[in-house]
Amino acid sequence: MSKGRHSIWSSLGVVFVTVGVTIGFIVVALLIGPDIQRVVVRMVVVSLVIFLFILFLRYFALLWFSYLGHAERNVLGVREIKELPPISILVPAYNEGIVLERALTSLMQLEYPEYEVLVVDDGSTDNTLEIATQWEGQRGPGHFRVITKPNGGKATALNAGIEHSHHPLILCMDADSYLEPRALLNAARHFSDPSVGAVAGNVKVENRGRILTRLQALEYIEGLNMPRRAQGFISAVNIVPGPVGLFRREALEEVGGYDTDTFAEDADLTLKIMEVGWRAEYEDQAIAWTEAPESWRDLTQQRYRWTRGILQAIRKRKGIYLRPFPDFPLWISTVQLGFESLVWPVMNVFAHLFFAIVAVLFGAGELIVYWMILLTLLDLVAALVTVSMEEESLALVPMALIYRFVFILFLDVVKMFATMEELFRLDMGWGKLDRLENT
Amino acid sequence: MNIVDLLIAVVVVTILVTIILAVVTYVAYKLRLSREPTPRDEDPNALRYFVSYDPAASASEADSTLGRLDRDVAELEGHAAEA
Repeated sequence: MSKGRHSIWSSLGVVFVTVGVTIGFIVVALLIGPDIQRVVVRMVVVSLVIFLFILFLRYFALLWFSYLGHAERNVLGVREIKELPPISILVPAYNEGIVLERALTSLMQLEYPEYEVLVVDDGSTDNTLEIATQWEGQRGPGHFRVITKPNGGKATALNAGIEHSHHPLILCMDADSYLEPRALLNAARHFSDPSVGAVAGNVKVENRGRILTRLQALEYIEGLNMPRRAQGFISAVNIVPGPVGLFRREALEEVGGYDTDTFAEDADLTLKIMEVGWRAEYEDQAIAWTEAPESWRDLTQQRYRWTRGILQAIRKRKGIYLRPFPDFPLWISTVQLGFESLVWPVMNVFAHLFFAIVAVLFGAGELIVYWMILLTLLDLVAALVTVSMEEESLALVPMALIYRFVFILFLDVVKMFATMEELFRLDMGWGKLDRLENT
Repeated sequence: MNIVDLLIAVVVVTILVTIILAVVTYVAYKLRLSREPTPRDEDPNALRYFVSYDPAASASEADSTLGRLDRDVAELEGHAAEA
């Protein structure tokens, strides 16, 4: 991974070539004779049927396994643990002065018998260290400590935290997130199973004042937590998310902590842990609230980094794709990660583009409208099911009306370009989202 | 215009506008990124615009300057006495 100067011309080149090739196809489709046009239409329709089939298959598989995961928890109950092991909570912070106080306050209110909080200041240039130091030495339910180091990125901050922490379970969180009081209690129970190395928590969007953030709130529930719940059913969660992830120290030490060569250190670490044989589960009652980007620009930046980071993590372990056995859950989980990051966005963007072109040029508009109505109904049902499972606000459900055609399509365009840049290995930087004081 | 035609128009316009907006946002993001200052390869401690003030060095320099002045004054007084 290169972190050098951003090559704007390479990035723009990717965009221009993609847009140019697409327009070229449209022009060619217009110029060719009616016989060939019929063949093209037939091919497009066949491709769209395949697209729709994959979409339905993916949706129903995720919904079904997600439901099984939910039912397992609610019917069989949560696993009991005899003794709750002490937990070290790591809070890496780089210029998080505005939001750190809230995160640390939430950690004071956790319902858990014994834990320590370690704030790792990653060479901040704002008042992060000053704020963290005010908490140092506080003793209540948790004992607060602060360490500071030269700036080196989140992964190095977390590694420093792991090194300085003491307890057998380690919770990694983001400084812009805060935890629900019972988050530790609910997540720690999974470790009664000695094969569990990591537990992913449930991340929710806190700021919901705008349509964009409400769409993200729905996306976290329907697009991120639903797959995670489904993966949790087979103990193969492929991303233990940055805002709330609980790890067994033994597992972290076995894999050597976080690697610094990807921009999605959470996905990379999860895959590493599963590769050496540990299982990764999901706990929907280990809730962390996080701040979602409030502008399309910040959202673009965030998803660009996620996509490239995930692809970097996948690239490091391409061999898994050729080895479905003996660990089939790991294989299926990695395949899904690759499909969602690499294949699906491109497929989705071009399928929608073809929808539009075929509707305009070949008079198949009616068919496509019915198709879209069907998809929207599917999204509404999925939103209703997943929102109900999480006992979330039903006000999010109507967002499903524009979820696919606007929000997901927008994100998939960004993901598509990010994927192409990653394939060409163009330079990238970490980027830092603007924090909001009011959240 | 019947309802189906209206829906066709809505769907097609929404898809095209979203894709165009996404491409424009992505390009804008990249352009903005290219304008952000990037870390320089040069030594961050190296002097660029100002000479930093070092009290110890300045003190010794001042001493030596005063010494030189004293010597010059003494020399001038010597010349004046001779004259």
